[in-house]
Amino acid sequence: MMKRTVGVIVGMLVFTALALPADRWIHIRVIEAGPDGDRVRVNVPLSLAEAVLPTIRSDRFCDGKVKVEGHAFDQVDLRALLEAVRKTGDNQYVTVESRDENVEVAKAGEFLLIKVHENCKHCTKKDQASKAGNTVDIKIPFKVANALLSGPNDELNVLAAIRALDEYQNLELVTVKDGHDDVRIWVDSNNAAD
Amino acid sequence: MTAGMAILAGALGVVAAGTVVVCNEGAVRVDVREKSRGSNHIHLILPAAVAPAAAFMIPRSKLHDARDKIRPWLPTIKAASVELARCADGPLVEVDSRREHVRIFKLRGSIFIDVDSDEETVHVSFPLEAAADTVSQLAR
Repeated sequence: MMKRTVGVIVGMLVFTALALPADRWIHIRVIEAGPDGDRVRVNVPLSLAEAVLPTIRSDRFCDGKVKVEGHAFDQVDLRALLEAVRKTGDNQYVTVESRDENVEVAKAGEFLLIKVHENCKHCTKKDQASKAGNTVDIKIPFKVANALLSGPNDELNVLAAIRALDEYQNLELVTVKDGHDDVRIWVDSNNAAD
Repeated sequence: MTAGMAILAGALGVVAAGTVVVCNEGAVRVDVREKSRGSNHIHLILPAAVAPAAAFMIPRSKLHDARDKIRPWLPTIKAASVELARCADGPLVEVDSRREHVRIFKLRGSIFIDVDSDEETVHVSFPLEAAADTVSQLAR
């Protein structure tokens, strides 16, 4: 009887632990390839960002929202554009190939993918060597993008985007690789970077 | 037992209880060691329970404009303290360069800040519970 009771209690505790949502953490890792080889790792619980962002007030940042007037996208209805892409099938929607760089914008399931690859064909040989293989990969869930653009045209709702990020288990948001720096921003439930 | 002994026992009990409370709250620790010749070394350990009271006792004239600078950030510090106290232990910020190593991490309800540079080493630790109260007193 005693063993059974203990078993039930342990079972309930395990169930409770599993039922409670694990903290999500946003990680930022920057590794510089220069002679100093600086390395920066930042690990922030999303719940901390959610709690702190509404308390920060500066001229451009207030209530978790940042003013971005004067930028190109306050002239374009990004929300409508995003919604149109979200409703269509998976595809590569934008491909820009230039001398300097290739840009691809695609939809894959619930994610918007942006890839930038530097070519630098007109650069000097020295620059070509340093810029060859420079890539930027951005993966944004449509829910997060919508949340980010949920305010007026001249505003980014960072707080809403962070809240939307909370729904995702593991998510590679941004990867930047160039000759000098390696930047990675991702979300998972580990409290330490790799 | 005489009345004197009873009073002494009571006083010792109060002191012991106070010590337990103070120790349970943890300590604020500041350790700064300069690396140059003839360098200074500052080492300060303050029970966290008395940190807000100590902050309260600092004369306002000595705080200059610190109060005005801290005050707008009080809600942020309070919100951060509450959330950090709730989240798991672990590294928050790590910076490694040729000249400087910085670690900010949370461990057992306290924040630890370690800086090791060419000029000095700095270790600061404080319990999260005391942080918001102490800063509130500085901004009063």
